[in-house]
Amino acid sequence: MEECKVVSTPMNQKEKFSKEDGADKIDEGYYRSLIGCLMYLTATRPNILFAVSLLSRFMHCASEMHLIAAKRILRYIKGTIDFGVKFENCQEFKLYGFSDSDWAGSVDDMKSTSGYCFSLGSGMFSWCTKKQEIVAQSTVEAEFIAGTAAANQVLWLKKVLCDLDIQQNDKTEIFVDSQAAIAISKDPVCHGKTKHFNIKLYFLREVQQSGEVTLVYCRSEDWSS
Amino acid sequence: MRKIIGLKFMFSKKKILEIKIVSLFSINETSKPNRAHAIISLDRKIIGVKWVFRTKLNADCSINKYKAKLVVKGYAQIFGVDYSDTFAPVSRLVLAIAAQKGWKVFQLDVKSAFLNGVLQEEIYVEQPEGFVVQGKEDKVYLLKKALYGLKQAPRAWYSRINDHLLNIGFEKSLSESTLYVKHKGNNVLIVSLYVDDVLVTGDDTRLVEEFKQEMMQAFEMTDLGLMTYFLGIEIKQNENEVFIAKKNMQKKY
Repeated sequence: MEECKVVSTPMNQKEKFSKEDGADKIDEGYYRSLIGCLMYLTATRPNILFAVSLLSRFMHCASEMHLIAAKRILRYIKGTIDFGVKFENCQEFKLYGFSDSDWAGSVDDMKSTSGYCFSLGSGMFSWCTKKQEIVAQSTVEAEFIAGTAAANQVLWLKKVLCDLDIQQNDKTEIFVDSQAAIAISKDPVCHGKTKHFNIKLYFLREVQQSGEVTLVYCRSEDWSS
Repeated sequence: MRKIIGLKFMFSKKKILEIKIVSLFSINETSKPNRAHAIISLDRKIIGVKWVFRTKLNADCSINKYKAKLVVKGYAQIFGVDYSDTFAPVSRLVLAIAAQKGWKVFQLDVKSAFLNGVLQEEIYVEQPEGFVVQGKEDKVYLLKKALYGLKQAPRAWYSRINDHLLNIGFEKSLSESTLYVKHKGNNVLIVSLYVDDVLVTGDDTRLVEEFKQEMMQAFEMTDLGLMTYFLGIEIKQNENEVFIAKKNMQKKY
């Protein structure tokens, strides 16, 4: 892979993967060790986390298609080999985060994937991406589940920061790119589409009322990362 | 195959290893501080042991040291399971705070950490390959301290270091059990544990030095100085700026 051409993104945005894609199966040992190495890199590279965790779902049924995608990540890494996370002194030392989700990204079970990341002003220090446990019936629901996961993380991070004497008394802002999800999380609107969400709906409303967290709209184009 | 090479390698360096082995087993010596075993003969359930060999690399992929480790068979090693879940964000959080406040982060390493764990139970193991005492082939060892691979080992080690940190005035974070904070006057000292790696930072370098001394007295430790390489992450610390990357790891493929 030393002679490969560099690509500017870790994966093709439109490409969908499935367990049985008809392509030839490949040596699983090699694929697994490759994904294992990439996983290890995600400790300092949130930018490849989504792509790697997506490909890691096919460890037991790896095909040519998956391997090509995995190699594309390597090509991306080659072009960005000096990348890492930089923490520096900043004016406003405050916790904030972003949450997002795709919708029905997993072809095999139609589940969506949540993602969130948190920063204290300069570099990101906490990040996660995870396939959701339930099937989201709308994009709003998927965003909602991601927002809930992010809110959970905020609660924990606030406790840890409090133990470290860095109290976060203000509402922690989580930037979300879905206005509908924010509206639903604040007031009981759109009953027809939300009557089936239970616990997550009330949880997100409660943490916002108690002043721990607030969801803020942020257009997808404004994402700093 | 790896085992054979390992054993050959071990015997070729037997002199160096003998010193280590003696301190590990204290077959002949009885007053070694890190005495892990006592030889005994008994009709009890015995656990097998085996040698594990590992090459430890530096950040630039050069060889740091060869390690030979005696592990207990039949149990899975469980440390590292939740690494990505809570430890990674916490260590990065500590770095982010240090960068913000302009503190330096230091790293300490406990030598053979698990061998420091004191066992509550009676556990017997067979004599290790290559180091069977002549004339006493039928005897087994009674473990006084934990060995790698033992289910109790991580727990025994954790409770030992936990007690020590609480003794020297640290408070444990309620929501993250590997994070400890100590207040002295207006100064603060933060300690983060990852099994046998200890990260320490704070606003007063004197306190950090004091902490290192206190740790050195209780455990056999190496002071790795400023944190530069941790769990495969390369760390560069400058004035008010910390950069983390995995440059050399990426060259593998």
